Amino acid sequence: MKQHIIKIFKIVPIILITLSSCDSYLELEPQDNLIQGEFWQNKEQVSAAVAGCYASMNQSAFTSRVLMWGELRAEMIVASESSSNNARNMMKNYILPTNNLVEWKSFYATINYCNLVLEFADGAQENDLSFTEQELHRFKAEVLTIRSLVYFILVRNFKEVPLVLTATANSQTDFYPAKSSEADIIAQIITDLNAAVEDLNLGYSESAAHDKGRMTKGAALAILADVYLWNNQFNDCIAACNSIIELGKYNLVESSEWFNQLFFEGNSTEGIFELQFSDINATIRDGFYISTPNYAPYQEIIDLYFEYPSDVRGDKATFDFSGYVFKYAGINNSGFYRASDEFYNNFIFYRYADVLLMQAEAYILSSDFKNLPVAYNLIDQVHQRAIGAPLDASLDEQSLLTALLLERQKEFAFESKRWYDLLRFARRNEFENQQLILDLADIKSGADDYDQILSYYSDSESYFLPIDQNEVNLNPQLLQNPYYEN
Amino acid sequence: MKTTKFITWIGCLLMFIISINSCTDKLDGTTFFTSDDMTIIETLEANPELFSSYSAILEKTEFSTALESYGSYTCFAPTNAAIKAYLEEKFNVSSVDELNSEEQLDFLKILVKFHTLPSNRGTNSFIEGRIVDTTYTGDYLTSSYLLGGGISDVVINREAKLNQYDIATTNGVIHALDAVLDPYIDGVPKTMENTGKYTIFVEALKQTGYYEAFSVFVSESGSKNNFTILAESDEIYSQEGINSFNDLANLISPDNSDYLDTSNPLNRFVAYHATQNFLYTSDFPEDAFINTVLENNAIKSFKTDKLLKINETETGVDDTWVSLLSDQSNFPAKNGVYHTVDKILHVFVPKAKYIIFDLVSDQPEVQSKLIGKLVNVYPDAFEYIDWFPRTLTSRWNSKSSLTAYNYNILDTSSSLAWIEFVTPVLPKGQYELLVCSNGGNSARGVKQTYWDGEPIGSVYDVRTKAASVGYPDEIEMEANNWRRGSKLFINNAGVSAYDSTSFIRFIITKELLCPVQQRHVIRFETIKSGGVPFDYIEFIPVE
Repeated sequence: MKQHIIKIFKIVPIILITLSSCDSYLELEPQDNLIQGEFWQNKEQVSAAVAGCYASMNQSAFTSRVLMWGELRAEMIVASESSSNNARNMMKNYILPTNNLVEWKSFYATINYCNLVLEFADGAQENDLSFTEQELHRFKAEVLTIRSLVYFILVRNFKEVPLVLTATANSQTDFYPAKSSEADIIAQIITDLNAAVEDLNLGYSESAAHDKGRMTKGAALAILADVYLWNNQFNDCIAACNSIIELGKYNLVESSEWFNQLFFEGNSTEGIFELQFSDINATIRDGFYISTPNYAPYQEIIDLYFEYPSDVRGDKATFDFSGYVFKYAGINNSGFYRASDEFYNNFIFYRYADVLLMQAEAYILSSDFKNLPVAYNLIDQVHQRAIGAPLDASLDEQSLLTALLLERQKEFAFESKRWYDLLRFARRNEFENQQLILDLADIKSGADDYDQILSYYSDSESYFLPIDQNEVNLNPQLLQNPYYEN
Repeated sequence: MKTTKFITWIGCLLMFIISINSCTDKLDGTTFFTSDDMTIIETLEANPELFSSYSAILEKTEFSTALESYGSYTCFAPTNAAIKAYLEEKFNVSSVDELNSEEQLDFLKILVKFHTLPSNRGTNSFIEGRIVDTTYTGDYLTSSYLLGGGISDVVINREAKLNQYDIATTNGVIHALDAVLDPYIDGVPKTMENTGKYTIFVEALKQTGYYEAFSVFVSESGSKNNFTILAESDEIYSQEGINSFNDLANLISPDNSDYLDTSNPLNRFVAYHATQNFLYTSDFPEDAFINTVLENNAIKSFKTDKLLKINETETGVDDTWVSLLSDQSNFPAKNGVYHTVDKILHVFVPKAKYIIFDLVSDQPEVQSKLIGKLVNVYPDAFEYIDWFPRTLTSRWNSKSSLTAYNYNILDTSSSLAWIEFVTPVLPKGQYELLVCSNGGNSARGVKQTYWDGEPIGSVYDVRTKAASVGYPDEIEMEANNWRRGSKLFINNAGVSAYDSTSFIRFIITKELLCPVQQRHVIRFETIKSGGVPFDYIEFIPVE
């Protein structure tokens, strides 16, 4: 009997526990505050957080959109059997807000990682005696540059997006930001980059991968030059490019090494910012791996390279005659291809050839510093490297612009530049050159769908993407871009 | 011991009861729906500022219950303003409530059926041309992008713009229209006449008797008639100096005014402008002949990267073909569609032309994927193939290891009494007739060929081993009525049919005479039974 009583007493505490099972002590304090407080304590943690910003770009949700936004609406690539319907629609510039290729959440994730560092690194520096002021400024400059690059990608694609400059770290944040104007976003990017250039390292000595894979002075200046060009600030673009050239750090790789050093090996002396992949670059592999490529080079661009049979960028460099994007899928000029587990390609954002051609464009269009011979020389450097013979173009503005656009098309084929080049040229002076984009319809259509595709390209508002429908549904402040209002 | 168990049980029971009661159910009494999305009707009713008139029409015609049920529909809903304008013009009333007579209700019913598709078709399936699926009145609607401006400026039936598009609902999709679509009532000739732009052509239709013939909606056998008419507008005629019907008649048929006679040149001219196929521009074949109403004559449709070329001559001279004016084509009517040609479409007699007839890939049912690879079918599955006994099945197969044309072959049963194929339209002329199968195997059959019912050529022994007829010596093979395979067909191992002993070609005859341009029937009667994997039949013109 005694034993039984003991058993009853054993049950009592259990009952007591069950009784209080709905009590509030099970509720936890907001976890993020706790972790936030514990985390930002020292230099190593800040360094890890900065690495996290890079890693957040290193996701196929991010890189695949960078690739597709820059290429699909232009004419360089065509769909293959395995292309998705969303990609095919984007190739026709038929894009609805429900097309998941327009989701920007991975871009805002990176922006938020950057904002977190900007907000909390100061506290860590106060805590950690080994954390110098200079190091702090460098870390902050790195993430400012990353954030600027991401906003620049967004503003070129959506024109107007919410400009979020503070970290979303607790529930007090404004979850319903409205769109900012293109001018405000560009102004913010320019301010941030100019500030960042001061504090960034010239380079990193650990390895080429560090040197090309992290934001440096050269990287920030290259982005800045591109922003200036987009914003028609030609004088500033010339100056930014000059600053890069004066760094003396970059040069065009040898003609014979164009494919090998730039694209097969990566991290060449020409590279300025290349996203590094220590694991498979799934975006490039899915896009171009020869057994199931999502995209193939448009046949007629191959003809472009035949203009000069000696062009080192032609067969088995940019493309090959089997219809593959050799730039990413190839190994060497004997025509071997990468296997599916060999796609460690860097994702090149900027390289020196781009700087030269950006400066050339600014020299042609600047009213204060217009200098056509200098512009010619800049284009010619890139042209001669590829062809081995001088550029054949007369020294007038229109011929040089045409030569420049063609040179960019051949040099940066499939590097996510073409659509922005077309749009930048087309939209100057209130879409004076809209024909550049309307001509795409001719290239992209067959016998039956010319009128339809021309219609999709006819409204210049449609050159900017719709905001993802989910974002619009969740955020009442967010107004859909005008072309897509429905 | 028993007590121990008892107490433990009680304890557990107690615990159980307590835990059950430990939380109150805050959701008690709430009803849950699997989805709070709305149906087409609910969506229309939720937006009365746009759709209250159309909702009223649906209510009045008792179609609202249908659009509220499970299913998948496309609802083209005209906005209130559109319906008001339409009612004022058509009935001189300002609201739906005023329409109450039986006749008016019947018309509203047709109107609703005409605005509804039995499947979900978003803007992603729109093309320049007809929208897939017919409406509940059995008509095709068209979408057009000629206006430019992209997705929100798509025009339906050339009369209504999309005000809103792709409004998703649980049972389909809604597109809001800024005008009401007028249901098709007239046949193609009357529709053309109403535009006032085809007076000369319409007069020619009347004079030749085709006006009535092309206005028939249902054929004698009870099936729906469809006509596609390729017409010259008055503007096109005037460019050629033709300003009246008499000018046209003088040009085409100067010495013969019995226009009702089917051998009269003008009668033939008009008959040549129509086909019983139902072809929007996107439906014109890539490279094939389309039979016209003019017996034994076809127009040749050829699509390049950019252009539809009709009757392109083989001289290689540019501009000898006719095309369609896109902004004056794809106009629908109750029994078909009409297009405008960009110059006069004369009766065109093509020259004898090399034709390779792939017995698999050239079948419409295979092209439209109605009959898949390795699927056993009975002969009624094919329009242009028949065999006997009809209780047996055939299938087609494709392997990239085959050196067959298009890599595919038609596997036919070894017990067939006969199999026959309807050929494409052959331009008139003299041809060599060759057949190729995957042969050289003793299990194959032996066949006698019949051309339009008449035996022709020597016996086709599919068992024949290449070496026994002289392979690889081409001259010896030719003497034996055999020819090596084509160098153009190469399998995945890089071997061409020319170097393969199992795809050699049998020469049925070198003198096949086709006095008129038409389709023919080629039949293979079994002499010795055995399966035959047919590859293709070849017509090589003889000078």
